[in-house]
Amino acid sequence: MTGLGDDRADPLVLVADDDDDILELIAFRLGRDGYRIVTASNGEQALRIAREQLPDLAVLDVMMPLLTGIEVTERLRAEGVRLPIVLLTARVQEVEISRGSQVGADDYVQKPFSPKELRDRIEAALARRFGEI
Amino acid sequence: VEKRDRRDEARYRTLVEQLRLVTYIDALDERSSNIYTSPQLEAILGYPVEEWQSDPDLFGRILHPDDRERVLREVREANETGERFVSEYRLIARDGRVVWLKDECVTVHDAHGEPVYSQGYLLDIGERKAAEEASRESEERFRSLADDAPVLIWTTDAEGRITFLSRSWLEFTGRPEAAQLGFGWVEDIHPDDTGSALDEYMDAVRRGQPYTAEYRLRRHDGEFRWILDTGRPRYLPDGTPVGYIGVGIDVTEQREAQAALERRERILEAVATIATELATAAAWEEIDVAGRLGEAVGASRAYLFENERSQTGALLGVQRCEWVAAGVRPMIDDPSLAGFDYEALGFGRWVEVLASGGAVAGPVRDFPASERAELGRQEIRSILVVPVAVEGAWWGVVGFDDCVRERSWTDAEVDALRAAAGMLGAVIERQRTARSLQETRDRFEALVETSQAGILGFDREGRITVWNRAAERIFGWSAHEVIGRFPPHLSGDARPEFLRLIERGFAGESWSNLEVRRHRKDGSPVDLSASTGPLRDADGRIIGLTSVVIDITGQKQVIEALRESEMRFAAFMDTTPAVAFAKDAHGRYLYANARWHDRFGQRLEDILGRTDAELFPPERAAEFRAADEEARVAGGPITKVEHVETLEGLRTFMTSKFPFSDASGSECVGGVSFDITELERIERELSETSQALEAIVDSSPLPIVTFDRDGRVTRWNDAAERTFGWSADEVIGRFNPLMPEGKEKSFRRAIGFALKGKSWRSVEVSRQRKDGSTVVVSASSAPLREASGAAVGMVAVLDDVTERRRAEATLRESEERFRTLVANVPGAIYRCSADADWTMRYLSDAAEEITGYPASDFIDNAARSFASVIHEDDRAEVARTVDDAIARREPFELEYRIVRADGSVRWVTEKGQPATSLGQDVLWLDGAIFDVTEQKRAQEERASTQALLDSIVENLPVMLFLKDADELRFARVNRALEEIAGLSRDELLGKTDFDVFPVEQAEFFLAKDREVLERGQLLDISQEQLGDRVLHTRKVPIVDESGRARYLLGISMDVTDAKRAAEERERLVSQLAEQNRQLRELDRLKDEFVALVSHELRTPLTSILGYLELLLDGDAGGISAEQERFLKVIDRNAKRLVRLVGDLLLVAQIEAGTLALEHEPIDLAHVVSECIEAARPTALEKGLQLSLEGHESAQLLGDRTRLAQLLDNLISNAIKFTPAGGRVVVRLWRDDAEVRVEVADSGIGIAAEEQDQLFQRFFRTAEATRLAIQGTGLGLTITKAIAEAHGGGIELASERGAGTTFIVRLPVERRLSSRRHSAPEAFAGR
Repeated sequence: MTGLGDDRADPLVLVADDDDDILELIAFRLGRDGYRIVTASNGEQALRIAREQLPDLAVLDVMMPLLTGIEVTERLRAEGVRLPIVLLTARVQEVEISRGSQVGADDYVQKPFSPKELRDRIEAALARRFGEI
Repeated sequence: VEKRDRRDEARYRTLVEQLRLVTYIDALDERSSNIYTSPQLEAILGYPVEEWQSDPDLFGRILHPDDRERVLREVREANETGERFVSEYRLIARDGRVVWLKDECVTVHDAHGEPVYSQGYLLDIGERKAAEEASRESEERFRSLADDAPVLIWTTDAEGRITFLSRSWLEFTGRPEAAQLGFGWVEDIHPDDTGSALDEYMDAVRRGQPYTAEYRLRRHDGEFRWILDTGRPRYLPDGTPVGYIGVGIDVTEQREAQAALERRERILEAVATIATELATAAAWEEIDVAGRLGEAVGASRAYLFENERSQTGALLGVQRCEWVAAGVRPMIDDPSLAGFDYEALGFGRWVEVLASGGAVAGPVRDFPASERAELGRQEIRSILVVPVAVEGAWWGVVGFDDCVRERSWTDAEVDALRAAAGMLGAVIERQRTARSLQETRDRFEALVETSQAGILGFDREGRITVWNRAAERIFGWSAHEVIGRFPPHLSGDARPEFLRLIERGFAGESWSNLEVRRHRKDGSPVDLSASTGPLRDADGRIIGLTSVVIDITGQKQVIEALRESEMRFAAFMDTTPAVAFAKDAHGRYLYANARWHDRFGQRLEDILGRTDAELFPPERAAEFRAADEEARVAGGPITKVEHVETLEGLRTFMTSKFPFSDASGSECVGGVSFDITELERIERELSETSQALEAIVDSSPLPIVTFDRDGRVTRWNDAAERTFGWSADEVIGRFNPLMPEGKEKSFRRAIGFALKGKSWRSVEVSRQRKDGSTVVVSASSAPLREASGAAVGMVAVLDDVTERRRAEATLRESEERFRTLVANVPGAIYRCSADADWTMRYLSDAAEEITGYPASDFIDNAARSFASVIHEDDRAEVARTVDDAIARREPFELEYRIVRADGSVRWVTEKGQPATSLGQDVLWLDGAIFDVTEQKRAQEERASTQALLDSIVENLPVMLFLKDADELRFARVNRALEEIAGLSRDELLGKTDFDVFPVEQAEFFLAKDREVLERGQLLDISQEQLGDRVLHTRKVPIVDESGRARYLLGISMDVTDAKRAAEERERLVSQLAEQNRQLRELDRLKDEFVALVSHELRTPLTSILGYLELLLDGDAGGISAEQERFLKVIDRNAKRLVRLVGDLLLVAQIEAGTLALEHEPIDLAHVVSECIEAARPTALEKGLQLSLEGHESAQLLGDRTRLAQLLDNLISNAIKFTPAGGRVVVRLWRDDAEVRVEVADSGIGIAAEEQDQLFQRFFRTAEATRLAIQGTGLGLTITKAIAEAHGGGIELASERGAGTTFIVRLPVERRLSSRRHSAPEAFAGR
């Protein structure tokens, strides 16, 4: 499946996007691969969940109400939270920013994306992170 | 078998009857009776098969009459020979249609070779026949069309040989068709073009490509015309090339018009450049006008000629500058062009044309023979000469030669060059005016400043407006200190007088040489001779006063001192009882006092310059002369007793003579003679009778004292009493009281001498008066004898000579001073007789400076009279004035001309006065003559300078006006103003703006006038309206020394034309700027819109594609094959939309310049292979061959994604635009510097005219649109941008129908810096 150790529980992934259709799409796809999903439809919600539920990975849309995905990432990193973060981008400028290392995201996926591709990226990010530990 | 045969037959029949032709079987009987005819017959001919079979004659009847005989004959022959029958003929269908049929029939034999029946078919060949007919008609039509068309039409065979030339072609070339067919036409092509035209042609023919060439073709009249020749290959329907058809169009006019327009543009550009440069240049000569225009015109030479007049008055064109193109012979050093005599060289026509503003233009061969010779000498084949006008007059020309071609000049070019000439003229005009104004000003100022006389200007209030350097010297104040002030050199009490003079001056009075006394800055007085007059403007209005002052302080002092000295001298001399006289070294009388006249009856003028020899008898004269000599030798006074014949008879004089030197050091002798006749007589009588003596002694006017032998006074007459203060009673019996203390002894000695009989005369001794003062006496003494003759004492005559000595000393001193001064005054001092000749008695040497003759010439008219040097025309006036002065005994002043020895004329002023005797007789005239020629000349020059200034002001091309500051009424206007305002001087002067201009304009003027007056400084009004003219005006207040504005001076230039041109330009520029702004705004909005929309599209696309993927992956349950197919359609189109959005965003980035690239080492060969593999399914699907050639590795630094996108675009384009069966080849090359990728297809190609626009975004070729090939028109824009962002580029080679090759070059080393050079570290593991 994901190559994770069997002794681990299924990874918890935070998915944040203000578009419900996309939330469902990602949730469905990842759910089929055994991920546990928690969703947020704005930046503040995502930030709260990330702090409280300590997900294994966060997929954050950049363009979200209240806080952007980038802002959420920056705050989490400022707080020392090290979970892997994959950003979802739509605008060219967002790609530019997301690619910058100082933001602190692990990867970004440009919209429109293939759900499978997103899953592969998530797996890769998790593998890298767990591999470090 | 039968069953099978039947089945076969049925099958055959079915088959036959399905064919689209009529099949028939005829018996071989006589009548060829029909056995079988397939049912298609009815469809073709309208006759049912039954009717056809039952009526054997039907065929013959419905045969077309034109074919009947032939066909029946052919049928017969075929029947007879049994050979295959083939014929084409027409049948008339039942409904009357004509049906073309092909009939082919063969005889069928049985197994034994016996003929059994004939079998044939009828094929409807109507369409083919119609096509053949149409083709024939088309050929006919083509010929007639080709022959009638206004263009040149030709056709060739497959090898390119001309097979047809239209009538228009033949008429154009004028050569027989036979001579031109094949390749004969090439001979008419211009030799320079033959090679290229033929190459193009043969190249096109060889490759079967369309052909286009432009070349010059010789017309029947020998002229080469530009032909645009295009040809297209022709093919048979089966694709076999059969040759070309082409059209040639005479494009000479278009080409020329185009070239002329381009030249005009260049000329206008050059004009604009020159205009800009001229605006800041000090002189037009600084600008390479000829060069700029010459290059713009494309001429061989360009030049400027200025008109001049020769000494004989002929009009000459003088070449001022020249520019020549490379390889053209310059003419600038040609002597005839340094003074081109138009008339003499046969160019009279030009003068007429150019002077009236026309231009001379055209090929030289069209010019009159007289002009051709000269122009030919200069190798000119075509010329354009445009006149330059300055100040409305023909100034010269700007011209252009073409030594290469016979060109004609279009109106557009001529107009553009006229504009250039006009501009040049305006600039020259401006510069010329500025220069002449400056020169005049300089000259005037130089004159004023260098004048030795002080030049002062005053305004109406008496304030100083002009104060030159000489004035500074005279008065001590600098111009800076006094300009604008009331004259500081006036003492308080002189002010009213001065103001009266100013008033009189402004009333029009003028006066010369008015002597006034003013004061210097240091307070010392200065005497001036002032000549003052009004300064008038052009209208004669007085606008100020000008004074020329000469410092005459020195002269004045001299004259006064002289006068005083002379008066004192004369007073003394004329009251002394003695005769006084002076003689020069030659014994000529210089002076004699009035006593001379009393004694001798001769006036001074009678003896001046004469000698004793001329005045006295010889022995007397000799005596005098000897005495003179004695005095001179003695070096001091001597005394002589002389007996001279006088009016009163022979008299005895006691004469004292003394030498003195005159100013020149010459030894002169002065003398004073006392008449001692009476004294002698008394003395004589005394010796006879003491009584008488006593009486005489007592009555003697001279003090007479007698002493006894002891020195005691025995007699003391009244004169002694008067002279010495003691009365006789006081001194009689006393020792001589006159002797100063301690001198008694010497007196006793004198008494002793007298007692011994000695006597002496005129011994000057000092004695004392009673009051103790000293008195100088001339003492003469003699023994006092008794009647017996024995000396008993001494008698002394003591003449008091104190005053006399003093007078003598004064005389000498005065005389010295007189001479010294006379010698030093600048004028000639004279004393002359009041006679017609002005006979000079005395004339100072300065006369020589004035007259050129030595002063001595005039003395007693020795060589000439003074009257003779007075100018003939002035002589009478001089005489009249002087006579008048003499009559009134008053001083006189004269100004007149002297004719000098060298014939030149000098102006002099003379001041003199008659000297009169007590009896008011005029004795002589005394005076001084001054040379005032220079002052006079200065005055005249000043007047002429003023006139010149006036005329300049009047003729200035700019408007000039003067308004009084109080009421702002026009005080002065010049002609330019009259012309522009359209109002005459009379209508303007004394009027305000409101009287003559519309209210709004007048209000504007008034507002500006007030501003100028209030601010008190120059105001530059860059534009104001006067009628329909726009003026550039400067106004400046003219203030008096108190700072109050007196006038307002305005200078206006008419800038209407410049203004309008500027406004129009301004309007156009701002209009363009606005349009640009709008376009940019629109463009920006569009880019933003695209970016926004693209983004907004991505989110829904994410859902669409994501869910599709889920469905297609079966994540939502199984789907049918049909459902899967449909979902894939959705998926494909959604992905297309994604690509479109991506492209749009990319284009937006490119436009915004924010396209960023990765910069990583990649092997382009890998990328190319991947792209090809990705495209291969599409290519296969379309039946295309897709292959890769070239190098297998090509390393470079670049952005893999973008380069893949570039390749995808090119390859997918190639596939899209290549029809089935074609091929697409991708070639990859590399060397050290660059990598080259070519994507070549055999597709439909791109029209040449579209290739330029190909890379513009959203551009789609007409062919792509027509064939409805999908595309956004963004792919190539992106491709090019990507190539360029990599420091490379893209090119293409394409021909319609022959395919397209795109070539991308990418440098191995990235030359252009990119925003970012590598992927961020954070994603390195991705």
